[in-house]
Amino acid sequence: MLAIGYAVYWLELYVLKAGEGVTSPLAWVLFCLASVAVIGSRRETISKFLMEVKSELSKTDVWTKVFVGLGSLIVLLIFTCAFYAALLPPHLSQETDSLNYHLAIPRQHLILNSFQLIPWCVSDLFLLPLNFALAPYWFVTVLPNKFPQVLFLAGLTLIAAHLVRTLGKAHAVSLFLIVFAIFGSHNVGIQMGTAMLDLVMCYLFLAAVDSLLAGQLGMAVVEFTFFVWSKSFIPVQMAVIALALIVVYFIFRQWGFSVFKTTPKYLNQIKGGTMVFFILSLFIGGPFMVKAVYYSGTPFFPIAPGTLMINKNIDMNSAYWQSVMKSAEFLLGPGKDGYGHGRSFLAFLKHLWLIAVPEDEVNNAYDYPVGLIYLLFLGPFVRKFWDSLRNKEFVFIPLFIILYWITWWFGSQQTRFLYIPLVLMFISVIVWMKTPSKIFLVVLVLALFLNAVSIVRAHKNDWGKSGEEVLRKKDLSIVSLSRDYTKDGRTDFVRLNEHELAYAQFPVILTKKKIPFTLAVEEK
Amino acid sequence: MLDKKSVLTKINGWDVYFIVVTLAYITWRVVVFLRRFP
Repeated sequence: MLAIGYAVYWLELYVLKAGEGVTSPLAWVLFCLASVAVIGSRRETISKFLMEVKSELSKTDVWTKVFVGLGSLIVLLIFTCAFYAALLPPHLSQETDSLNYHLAIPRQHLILNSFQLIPWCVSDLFLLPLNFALAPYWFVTVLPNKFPQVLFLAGLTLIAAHLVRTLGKAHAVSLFLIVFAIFGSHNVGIQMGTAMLDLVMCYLFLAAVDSLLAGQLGMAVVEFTFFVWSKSFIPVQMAVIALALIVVYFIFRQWGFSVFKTTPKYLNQIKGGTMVFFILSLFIGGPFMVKAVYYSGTPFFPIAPGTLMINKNIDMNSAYWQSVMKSAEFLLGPGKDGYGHGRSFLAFLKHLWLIAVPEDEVNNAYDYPVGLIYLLFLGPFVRKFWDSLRNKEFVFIPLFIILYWITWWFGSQQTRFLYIPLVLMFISVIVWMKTPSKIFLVVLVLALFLNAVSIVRAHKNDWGKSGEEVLRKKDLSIVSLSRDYTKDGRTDFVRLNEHELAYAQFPVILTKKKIPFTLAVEEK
Repeated sequence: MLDKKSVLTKINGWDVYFIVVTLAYITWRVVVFLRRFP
């Protein structure tokens, strides 16, 4: 979906010229054809797998059958809510990032038919390949849709279940456990059916791991490349984790831990995969990094602006440069550290509980709670990891989870950035668990029920309403302005003081200066 | 279905953990909810 969407975006930008910010159905048509071809070619495997699951389930006791059935019904209810929400245009308070830049930036570029920096826009300095790859799907409707995201939610669930099967040769019940764990997690529920991209990123990472384990190195590299360039901090975070894993590997080997052996064939595959990754990165991350370096002196804005000053026209004393630096300072200062309760040892111990629960009304200092499921899995995870250390075993995935968590602790402590380690934690515990206790099944279904109640409460106000009826007042006024603009055949820039511009079908100049959203522009 | 080698089916202590964590979580949410009413 992303590979097709990314290629089609550039076509829409320069060849098809989606000048009113509405794209052709080309990306959707190609994606549907590709999906039919892939599902068709794997028809027999899918049918065999479903028969195996049915056969294994039929051999379980009544208790298991009842709770698997009940849990499945609640999952169906949650997915229906998410699916319905995904049919409406973005408007929810938990998807303001999408209105602010995920959707707004690719649309402004389509309107301008240009990839050049939008002169007032700080977010245009970010890494946006994921946003560009999804734009041809979002903007096929006049009111942008967020339907692709719900497909990624379904994909994430299926990939996680496949990983449980692959890693643990797991029983069919275990496949339901991972589905219940994902759908029962409060922080996943918050983003279901919204236009946010964190679940898409989680899918990409897990899909890359799954493809790698299935021996599909090419597919794994494509998925991993889109993941790495999806946010400015991800390349840095992945490099730190990779380095730490290598160091831990050699330390554990010195200490006599049983570690996996690297064979020449394995090393050659790593070399080949790395080379393909860098080549793909030239096309996927490259254009965005070149633009960011040229206008802000760093490929990973807002990290280290001004370190690679290739653009000699930038005056370091200009209002423009001051706004670049101030925006970066804000994003890496209050923007990053505005979450959590600090980074002391006590704060670390407290966060293990506090990330799970609401502190005030429904949210907490980490943005939103991750919920009961995480607490249920945390104990077994810590215990099994401790056991593996005592048995001198180098366990790759749990170590990755812990290192990821450490980098999160020193980064922006928002629970939406914990999807990957949390889902990996669920997978690890379920693989270790082999068979769940009856009590575990009961509390898992209870957590699912609690999450279903939260999701229904979050979306019920939109039920039965049309796309325009759910829009916020300011979005409605932009929609109305867009209609008048098109009707009058205008081509000029419109001055607005609103930076959430997903609904604007005209080129905008932002008049309201606000750090960290706007760059200072020299008026001509 | 039951695998006797499974750690989490053999150690009944885990069931105690699941119940305690669930009760603590629900109690916390109830307390936070009741705080809305002065």
